[in-house]
Formats: sequence, C-alpha cells, structure tokens
Amino acid sequence: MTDANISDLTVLIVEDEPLIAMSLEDALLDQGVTCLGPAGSVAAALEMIEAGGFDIALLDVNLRGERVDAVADRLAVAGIPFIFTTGHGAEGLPDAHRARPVIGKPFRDLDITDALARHRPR
Amino acid sequence: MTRLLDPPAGTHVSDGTPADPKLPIPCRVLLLEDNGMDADLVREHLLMIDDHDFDVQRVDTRQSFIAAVTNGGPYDLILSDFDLPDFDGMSALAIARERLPRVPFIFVSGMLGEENAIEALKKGATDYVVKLRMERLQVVVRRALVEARDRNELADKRQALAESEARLRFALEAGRLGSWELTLADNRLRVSSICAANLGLSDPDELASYDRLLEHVHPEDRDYQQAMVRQAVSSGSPLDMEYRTVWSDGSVHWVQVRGRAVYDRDGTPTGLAGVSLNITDRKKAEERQLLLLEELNHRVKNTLAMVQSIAKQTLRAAPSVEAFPDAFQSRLRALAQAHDLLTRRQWQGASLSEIAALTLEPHVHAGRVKVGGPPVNLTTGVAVSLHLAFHELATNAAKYGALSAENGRVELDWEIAKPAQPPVRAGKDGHAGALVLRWRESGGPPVVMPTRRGFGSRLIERGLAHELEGDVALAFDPAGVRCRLVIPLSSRVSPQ
Repeated sequence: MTDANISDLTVLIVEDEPLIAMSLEDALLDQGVTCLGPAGSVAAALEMIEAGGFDIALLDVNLRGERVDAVADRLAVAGIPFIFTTGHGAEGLPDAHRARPVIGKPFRDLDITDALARHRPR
Repeated sequence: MTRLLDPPAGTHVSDGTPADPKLPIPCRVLLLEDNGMDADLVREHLLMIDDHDFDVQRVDTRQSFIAAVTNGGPYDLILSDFDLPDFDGMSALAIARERLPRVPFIFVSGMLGEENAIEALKKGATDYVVKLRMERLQVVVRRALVEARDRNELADKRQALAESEARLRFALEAGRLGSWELTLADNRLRVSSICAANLGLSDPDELASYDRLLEHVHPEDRDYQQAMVRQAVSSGSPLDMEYRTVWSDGSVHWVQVRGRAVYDRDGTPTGLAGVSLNITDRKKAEERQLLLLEELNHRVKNTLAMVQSIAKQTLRAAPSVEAFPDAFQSRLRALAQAHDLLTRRQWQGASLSEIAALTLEPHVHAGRVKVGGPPVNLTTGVAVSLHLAFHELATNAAKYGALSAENGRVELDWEIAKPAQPPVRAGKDGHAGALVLRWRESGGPPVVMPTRRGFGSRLIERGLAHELEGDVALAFDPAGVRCRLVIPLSSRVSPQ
C-alpha cells in the first residue's frame, strides 16, 4: 500500500494509447491526484511542459512511433521528476535517462502510486 | 558408371592398365598401304608382338585414309607407307597430326632417305621402319604404344585436373564464394575477384597483403578479425568469422570468412586458405527479425495493458458483477476484430469504411444502418480507437437505442470539411481541413440521459477526443443518440 499521501500532486500523463491513459487517470483520481493530459504526441507533451502546472510526469517511451527523448530532456532541464512507462523493457529507454525509474506495462495501480510517492519532489 | 553420352570419335584413349595381365591388350591399327603383300607382311610382324590383340584396318587411298581418321577408329596406332599412287606419307602425317594428335604414327616404307626420315620426325612422326628391316617393327610398335599410353595417361590427368578446377571455379562463382590464400612468411594474400568484390574492390591486386585487407575491415572489427586469424593459425581449428567491411563509398557490408591453416611436411603452419561470402542481406534480415521481435513484444505488452484497462473500466462501470463478463468479453472481441483487420493490412493502417463495416456490417445488411462517406485512410492507432468507439455506440444502440426497436435506424456518415468552413479549424500540424463524422440514431425508444458516464461515453468523449486532438460531441437527444466528431486531417487521418 502507498503510505505517503500523494493527493496533493498534479501529474502529467504522457501516453498515446487512450485506454491506457484512461486507466492511469482512474488509478490517480482514486488517490485524489490531479491529472493533466494525456499528451499523446511529443509535440503535445512539449506544449504541456511549456504550460507547466504539474509536479511529476508519467512518460510513455514511444508516442505513435516517435521516441520520447526530447520530452525527457525537457523535463530533466526543467528539474521536473518523471517516471517512464514502457512495454519495451529498460533497453528502450533514452540513453541519457537510463537511470530514471521505469514501470513496465502492463502495470498495477499500486506500482504507479508507489512510484509517484517515491519519486515525487520533496 | 552411367554413360550419358558416347565418347567423341577419335579421342579414344586406352587407360593404360590392362584389367587382367593375362588378357591381350586390344589394339586397333590403321594401316595406309597400297601394296597387299606389304600389308600382309606388316600384319605378320604385328602378330609376333606379345600381349596385344591387333585389329588392322587397311586403307590405300587419300580419300579412305581421311574418312578413317575422321570417322573411323578409335585407333591406337597408325602405320603408313611413304609413297602411294595418289597420296604421300607426309600429307597423311599432317592430316593425322591434326585430327588424331595423340595416336602414334609410324612410317613403314620400302625406302626412306635420311632427310625424309628427319623431316618426318620433325613433323611429328613417332618413328619409322624400313621394309628391309621389318623385324624392327615389333620393337618400334611396342615402344610407341607404351609411350603413347604413358603420354595419354598424363594428358588425361592434366585434362581431368583442368576440368576439376573449372568445375570448382564454376561452383565458387555460382555460389558467389570468393577464395583466398594467405602466406604466413610474408603476409602475402591472393584473392579471387569475387573475394575482392565482397570488400567492394574490383581489382584483386588491391588485396595483395594481409595488411591491405585489414584496411578494408571495419575499425571496430579489426581486433576480432586478427584474433580469429591468429587463433586459426595457432590452434589449427577451422576459421569461421563474420565481420563488417567498409567500402570506398562509406557503406558497410558483412562478410563471412571460412578457412583452415595450411601446413608444411613438418607440421609448421605456412598459411591459411579458404572462402569468403557476402552475407549483408542475411545480416539485414536478421536485424529486421530482431526489430520485429522487439516490436512484437512491445505490441503484446501494449495490448495486455489495453486489456487490463478495459477490464478495470468495465468492472467500474458494470451495474452488477453478473453484467461484467458479457460486457468485458464483447469489448475483448471488438479489440481482436480490429487486430485481425490490421493484420490483414500488414499493420499499415485501414480505411474508415473498413473500420465502420467491422462493427456495423450485420446491421447494414439488415437495412438498419446506413454508412457512407469519402475514402479516408487511418493509421493503426486511430483505426483501433475508432473501431472501439463504433463498437460502444453500436452496443448501446442495440441495448437501449435505435437498434433495440423494430423501426429504429442509424446513419453513420462523414465528409471532408475545408478549413474555411466554420467551425472547422486547420489541424495543428498544418494540414488543412478536417474529417467530420456523424452518428445519428432515429426511430428508437426515447433516449434517457444516463445517470453516470459509462465506459463507452468516456472512451469517446475523453479518449478519442484526446487521441485525435479533435472535438467530440456526444448528445443523448431524446429523439436518438447523436455523436459528432471533428478530427483535424493529419498523417494519421488523411483523405485518399
């Protein structure tokens, strides 16, 4: 179970598959988390980062065939923590961000909320 | 041995080794002699030669001689008079040398001056016997036959060797196999033209040494290449390696090299020899396969995540536990249908009418649903999402809406709207226009606004709108459910 309270968080969801995005939203809304997105493309994600207003991001590594490296780079520069979600395993991660936390698909709701609690900004 | 073709006339060669030493060696003789008595004399002397069974064919004119050397035989020996009424021995010799160069040719003549004899030997006669000393014939013939057999045996071996080499070369070329040979003492390399071509070179001399070969090996593979060669020399184990080569145009190709060390009589390695093969196509196929496997893994995981999401959301929205299995299985089947269609299209996308037909075809056949619109191409992701949306709309219509009543109707149509036509705006990625898609139900029972949004509504209003970056209006009009999608045209949604 998630010990830490994450209900004060606003999370950006970057995910191109609507069903998975909806499932993520459900898991987060149940915990009282505020959701932004989902951003389904690199361009949309960059736009939402530009607009800001979130604490942490969940980041699918591949958006409609496009690698998500640019989004990860931008988040890293902005100092915003993020967690990769992927069906590829660790080898699919952008090289510059291999040390970032990863959640494999399919995931449990608990995996998501635990990871958010662990990697949220202090 | 199976003989497919008869041996050509005139090239008969005895194999030189009698199968059984007790059996006489058959020997066909062509005798050019106009005098019958002289011919008999020659026969008699031939019969005195042991171990041979002579079969003498006599000719006495130019014409019959030419016919014999052209079509007769095969002969093991030619004996010829020097002077004939219509012919002469030297001409006969010239013809025989041309047609039957391997058959020994001996002059048997009443008189043969020293000059003629020398001239005859120069022109290729094997020997000569004067009729006054006919007893010499036995010795001369026996020697000539033995020498011819030895000579022919050697020629046969040479020819067999040449043929074997030609066959080997043909096989190498047919298999696009290059061959190479490395001498360890001086690192000299000899390669075939195919071997050079495998490294992108037209001239085999450009690979005259091992060092020059290394220059064409991909820098990252040089250490490996050298280590493999060294190991093959030191251990004597077969060399089998695959490395990359960089051609002069900068392109990278793969080569497979197999070989083995060559040793001298003391067992000291003196070199390496082997073959090389361009395996770039195979390597590319392997890389493609690896990519496909990764893609498959990704797709399976993604599909599992979608199934998980469908399960979770179906469970949330289910009015009772009993209602869950049917709703879940129906959605799962819809997802599977979409996968079937996309697999038939090699996952290159699908057309909007195909996607609409997937769910609505049975209702269209029953005359309850009308579908129409211009051709529109969808990428795989959009196709799956739209298919799931149509599935939700159709399922709802069949349960509560127009398709639940006898006279209910559904119209699904779409058009391409120009950006100038309000309220359509240009797509975000700059493509002008939009796909406007309408679902309209009529003739069903009065529609009641649902008390809470179900999975279908959420999928259409939230998921689809987000994914397609479009506007979605889902209305529970009392006269019938209406849904209007305005999707900006893009590479994912494009008119044909």
